Amino acid sequence: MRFARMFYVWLLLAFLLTACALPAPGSPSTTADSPAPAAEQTLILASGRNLGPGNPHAYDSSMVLLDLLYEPLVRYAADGTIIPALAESWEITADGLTWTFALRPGVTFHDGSAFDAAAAKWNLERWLGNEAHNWLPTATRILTIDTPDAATLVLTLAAAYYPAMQDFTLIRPVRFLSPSAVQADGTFAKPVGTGPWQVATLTDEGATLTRYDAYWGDLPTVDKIAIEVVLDAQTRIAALLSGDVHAIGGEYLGSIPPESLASLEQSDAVTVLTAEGITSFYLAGNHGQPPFDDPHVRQAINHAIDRQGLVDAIFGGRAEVAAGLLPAVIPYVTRSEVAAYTYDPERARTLLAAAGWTLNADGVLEKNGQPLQLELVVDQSRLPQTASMATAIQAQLKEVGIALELRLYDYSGWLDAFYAREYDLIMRFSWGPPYDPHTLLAGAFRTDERPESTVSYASPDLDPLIDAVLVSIGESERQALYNQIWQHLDEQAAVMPLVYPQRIYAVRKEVQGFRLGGTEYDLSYAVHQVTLTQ
Amino acid sequence: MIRYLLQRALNSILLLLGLSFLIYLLIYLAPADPAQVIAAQRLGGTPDADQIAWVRVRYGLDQSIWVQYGQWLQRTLTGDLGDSIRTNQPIGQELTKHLRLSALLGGVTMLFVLLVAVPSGVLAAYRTNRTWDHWARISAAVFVSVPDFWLGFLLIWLFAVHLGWLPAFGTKSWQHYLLPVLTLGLGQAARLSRLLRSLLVEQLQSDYLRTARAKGLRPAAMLWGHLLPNIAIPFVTVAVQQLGMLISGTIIIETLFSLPGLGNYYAQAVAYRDIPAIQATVLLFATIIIVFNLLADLSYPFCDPRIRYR
Repeated sequence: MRFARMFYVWLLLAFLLTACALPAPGSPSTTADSPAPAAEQTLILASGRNLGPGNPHAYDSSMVLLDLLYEPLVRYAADGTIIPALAESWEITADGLTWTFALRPGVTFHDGSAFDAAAAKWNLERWLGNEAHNWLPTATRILTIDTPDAATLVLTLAAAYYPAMQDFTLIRPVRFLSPSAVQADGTFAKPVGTGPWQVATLTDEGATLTRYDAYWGDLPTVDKIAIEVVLDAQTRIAALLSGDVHAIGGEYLGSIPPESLASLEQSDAVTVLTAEGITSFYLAGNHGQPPFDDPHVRQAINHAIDRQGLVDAIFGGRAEVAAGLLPAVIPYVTRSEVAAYTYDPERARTLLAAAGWTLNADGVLEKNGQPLQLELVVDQSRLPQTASMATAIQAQLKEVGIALELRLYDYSGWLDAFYAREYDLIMRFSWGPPYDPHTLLAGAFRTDERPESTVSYASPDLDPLIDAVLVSIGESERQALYNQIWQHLDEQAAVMPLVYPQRIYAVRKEVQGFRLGGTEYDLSYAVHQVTLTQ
Repeated sequence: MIRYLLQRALNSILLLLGLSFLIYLLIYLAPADPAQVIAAQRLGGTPDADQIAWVRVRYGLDQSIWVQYGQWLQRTLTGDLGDSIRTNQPIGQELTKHLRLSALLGGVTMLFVLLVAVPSGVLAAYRTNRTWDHWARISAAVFVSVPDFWLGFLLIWLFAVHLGWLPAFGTKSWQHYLLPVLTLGLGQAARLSRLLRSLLVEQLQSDYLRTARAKGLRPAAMLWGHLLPNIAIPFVTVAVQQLGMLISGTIIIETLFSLPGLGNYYAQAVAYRDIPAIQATVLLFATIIIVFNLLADLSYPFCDPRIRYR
């Protein structure tokens, strides 16, 4: 009948119309023009989260966006040292209580106003002593801020606290906003910083940043940066492969799911960049609860885990075997003489036998009629490999007679179990530099009897070491204390470190000069010397 | 008619009240204390007891559920939806922005669905068990069973990565809408098309049709004058319900294609335990569905003059 013909014609017309309107196959996406070599170059990045308004003193913006716009007093370099940024030099008195910063001259905000001691003081006053920032110990330890002249900032502390320097390299809330970028009542109005990039547009869907030509340091080589918000990890991969974005990856920008690594490595259009791991994944027993009150059990579990096996089979080699709680690249980390983490199932069995555990008829260890059955709680949303690691560890512990039950939760389920301490073993991770090692030790390895404590392990022998190291003054005194801390953690098998996953980025071949800095939020360092070839 | 509308309005208000309280309960029944989730989302990692305590006090989470709900209700009844805990922006503004996109996406998708489903369903009804009907049945089964995120991702790989014809994400130009509309629309079109087909097949066997044919009525006039009007009520009901769901139920597609619509906003609010935003968005979803169902019901007197509301 005529209907059939009509319908087929209709379909054909619809497709033809659509096809005519589309760009030719193989051409780049509609988001960016193909730049001729002399024209403006725009580096396109994909962010896995909304960018937010760009307020450096609040927690609703993307950290990497803030890193591009705002600068700190000092920066955390790739090798873990502290280098000058907005502060050219600094002096700390012998008692550690007075910190004098010489501010860099000639620095201006994107709106042209000068960055001087008054602006610095105004910024510090926005977060010091403010309960909203009480997670940052430095916020509660600075007593006074003085500005003897326009280029000098003097801070006095209530007590010595060396990690304040590390805290000053952070993003939130310590970076510097222009005092003219707020409304009359002090509410944040516009993102105006001193960094090499300034905002041209900023919406929910992305940002365009242009180079700030009055920047005090070397100018970045690319003219513009476009950050597109691409929430889904697989879509980010597709966008990279199709050329809609130039670079993806990193914890804070937009992480790459490991199962996609193979397709990225095989692609001719993309280069995969990696750097050594700076975070540590580890298992913690429910501190103080049996059987983890017995160091033999903790030591045995450490020897029962085949970390190399985890690295090879689950991470495809893209991780390092944990030889201690934290990677060696973290400041002050040294390895003790204790061989606490070698894969030695025989030794594990001996330790457990010495602790009074014997195998029952089911092949599970038992003591006083109680089988050694443990629940391991894992957050699968963190990294897909966490679930596979849990399964592998379950098999490895079975070999020595420990029956492990897995609880694979999502993020909120994990948080629930974590704060309610409803687990036998839990998988956790460190935050990475510049928070480590002091934040990890103070937060997870120091006695805290409060109901929502975040302690993995604590001991009355360890507490005074941690307290002393935080107020230590000299480098050698500090290192000696840290050595004692690592020694204690290894000897007591406080926790079971697993692996240090590598940092992974992927950039298109036409992107040259993308480099990885000391932390995962160092985007300004990463893109500073980028050029785009065609 | 007025009485009817008033009755519907009263029912709706009661429904919304009950729903809003249920949501409050569900938020607290869900794993983890909202204050813990908010603190962890805000700072990353595992915040300590001090930070969680600050969040509790700051957002009134230290009070009992009744008090919190009461305060929220009082504020909302005066028209103040509050500020989002996640973004610190007024929720009313954010919802308006996101609603605009969801409405656009939903509307265009519905248009696509109708343009594909109506001819396809009619053709299948007239050519039952012939080639087109078989193809339609097979593709309908496929598009209804395939999960939409999988279909969406497949389309991205095909059209964005391999062919390079379309962008993979975003909303900048009309080309950006093609893949999301296709992903959402194919499944819905399949459903509507099969519905239309079965409704028409039933009609095609009626007695009145035999009379009409005997009278010499042409097929086109039969279709537009009798058959389609007679199936209008069930068809419009389902279509309007689908449209309501297209505006409120597209979380996965919006996340996949990075479209800042209502579903996206809702998903982020839930992950953050952004209680005021969750409440406001759920109420908006419910209102949309209520309004669309009401529109469908109100259209019945037009479809069938025998129906009257009193």
